[in-house]
Amino acid sequence: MTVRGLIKKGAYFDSITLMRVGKAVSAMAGVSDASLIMGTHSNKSILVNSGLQFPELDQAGDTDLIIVVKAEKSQVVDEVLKSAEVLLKSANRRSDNAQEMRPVNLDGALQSLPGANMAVISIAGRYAAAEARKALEKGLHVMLFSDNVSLEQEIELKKLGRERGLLVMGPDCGTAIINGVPLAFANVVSRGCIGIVAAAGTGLQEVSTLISNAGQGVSQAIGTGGRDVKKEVGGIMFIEGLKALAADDETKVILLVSKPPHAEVLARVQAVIRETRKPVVSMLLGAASNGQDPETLEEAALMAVALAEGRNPGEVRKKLLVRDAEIKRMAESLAATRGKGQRYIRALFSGGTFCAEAQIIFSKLIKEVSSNAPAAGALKLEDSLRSVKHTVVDLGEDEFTVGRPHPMIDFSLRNKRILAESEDPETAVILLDVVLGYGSHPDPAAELFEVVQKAVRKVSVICSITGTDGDPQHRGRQEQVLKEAGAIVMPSNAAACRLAVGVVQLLGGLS
Amino acid sequence: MRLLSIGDRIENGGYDLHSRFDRVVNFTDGRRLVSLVESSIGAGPFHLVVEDHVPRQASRLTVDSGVYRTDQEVLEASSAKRFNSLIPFGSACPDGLALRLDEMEKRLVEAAGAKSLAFLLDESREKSFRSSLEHGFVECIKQGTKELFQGERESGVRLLKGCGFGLTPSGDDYLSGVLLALRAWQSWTDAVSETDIQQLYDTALGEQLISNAFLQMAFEGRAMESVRSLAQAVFFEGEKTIPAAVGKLCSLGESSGADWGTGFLMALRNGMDGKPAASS
Repeated sequence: MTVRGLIKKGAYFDSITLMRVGKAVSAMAGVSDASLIMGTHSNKSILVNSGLQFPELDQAGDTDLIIVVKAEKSQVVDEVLKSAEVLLKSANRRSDNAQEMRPVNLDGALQSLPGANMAVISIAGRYAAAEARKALEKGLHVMLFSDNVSLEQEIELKKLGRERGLLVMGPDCGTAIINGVPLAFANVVSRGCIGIVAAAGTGLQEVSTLISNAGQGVSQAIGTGGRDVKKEVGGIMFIEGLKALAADDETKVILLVSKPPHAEVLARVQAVIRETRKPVVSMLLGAASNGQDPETLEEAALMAVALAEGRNPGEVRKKLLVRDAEIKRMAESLAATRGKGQRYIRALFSGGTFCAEAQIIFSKLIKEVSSNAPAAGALKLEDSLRSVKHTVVDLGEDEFTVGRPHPMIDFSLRNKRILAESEDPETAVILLDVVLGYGSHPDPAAELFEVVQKAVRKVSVICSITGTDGDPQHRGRQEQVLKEAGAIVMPSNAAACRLAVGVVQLLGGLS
Repeated sequence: MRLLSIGDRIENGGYDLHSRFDRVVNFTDGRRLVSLVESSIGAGPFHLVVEDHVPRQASRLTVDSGVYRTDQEVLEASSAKRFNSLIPFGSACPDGLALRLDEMEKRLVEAAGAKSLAFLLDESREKSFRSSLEHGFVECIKQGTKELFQGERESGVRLLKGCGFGLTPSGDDYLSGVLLALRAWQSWTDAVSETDIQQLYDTALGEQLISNAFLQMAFEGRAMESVRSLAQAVFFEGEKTIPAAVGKLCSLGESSGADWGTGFLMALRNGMDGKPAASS
């Protein structure tokens, strides 16, 4: 083994750069160990004790950066040391250039991008409304990712937007696809003739990816933020979005997704639908069924696809019933692998809409379901960290996300919970959503692999993947890795939920 | 260029460029540090918060009776707020502290980065440290904290000082947290004396001015904005504000904030020599 080091006298790099470069050089081929570390007395002792001593080490002081590499081959050591220096230099250069391209206010941003017609705003809520107003006054559409914007401000902004013929997507709008461009948490989907308006972010992701995976495409996907369909906001942007799609030449079919709007809002939406000449599929999660409207996001997406292809949307339900029979057979196989006493579903979701959809599906068969975000008659969990019988958890709720990244980005909390639930002798099924696309974790399957592998020794792990092969994470590869870990991967959240219910039904867990 | 905030420990003098980062430019007179920072970094006792980007081309800063200038321009200070960095420990009550520390620990363990010192609070985090160097670092930190809280202060501090990764090594950030906690204890009990704190501080100081600046802040019972909001939550506001404050703290540096928080928490819990924290 060869160990060599460099001492960069008085070299100051921020900790994140040091970590990144350290990680990069440690991962280089042939490297046994490597580090970038300040030359303090303590650190030098540790280097010596770890077999990373080199002749010049003693010359380093508190203010000097040590780069040390250990490898079998001397040539590798030299190359890696050079690479480390190059990486550090380029980190410095990036810092110098970043400032030139980093405007600090809206005017500066417009100067650097004069043709912009949309502002995506993601700042602390108490400042966001003012910036959104400025953007609208400058003639820009607005996507307002920020939350903690007051209801009054939301109403004012949306009225202003409506007056000016501008979209106000949000607040708390995390997903949109405009002119084929995924914004914030969104997926790479095919372009096509189905336009979507959604007051449910992961709902939009689910339907848009299902549409794309079924061979059709999305013209525009407009998010409105969850509060838009409440009485106070009156569905302003939901209706403006619907009207915009009705007038859009590229859109042939319109798909609406939300939780049930307030009755007055629903009436206004229905009035606009009646005047729309294009077919409209309405997916109102949890609304009383009229027999024709879709019952799940999957069904809604497939109905929109059928309409886009000139087929009868009523055939979708028949096909899904045939698929349900297949799901029943899968449930039988899975139930047979479970032990005595295992009877409950523990659903751990990163997407709020999936949490709601699961509860709606479960409520048809399961008597008692608990959730930290109850829907469809579910009980409120007393302690979000402790499951009770059948439990559906939205890990995107505030109690899990204050001061930490969203569970679509950071899997650590969910992974801990998966292991904990798998240790509970009453757990039969762990149900997961895996959401791909921009903004989500770059490799969810890798994050989940180890815990799923451990969990499947004791429980069935069922998941759905929301995404396409065009997403940075590549849906197909994610599916392969999750299957290798032992998870059952279903084509939609609804299918995964049905399978989970099917399993516990056979285990006597419905009561 | 306009200043938004002026730290309350910035002294008159001439300061030369010490180091430059994306959002921070540090200047020194050889002993003290003054930093020009962007608003995302926040106010601090030695910080001048600028409205725009930090002037990365500046190589000298002069402070003279309320006039702040670089070698390129005068910084407009007329509307800048003065940042009060002192934490009023005297008006904080240690009652209920144990509950708030439990909440802080829970949030810190959740939010802290993988390579931070939060392994001192949750052993399972040790598995994030894989190489022999990283194991050596973990052992050094564990031994240092053991000695520190078992009365072997000087040897404990010497083990922790300068130990770890990052521009400000984790051990230094940890000791800054410890110092601030001891200042709090000093205001509530006779068990912690000025001599104890002074000795710990003197031993912890090294040659790296940035680490020293954080140590000095803590020694004086002061904190920058992001750290202060945690102290505020723990001493004055209650459990509800702790999660957000811990989140803000953990966003400091790669692990600096979490390391600081771990030291602060452990010292609040343990006092100087393994004494239990005040009961709730």
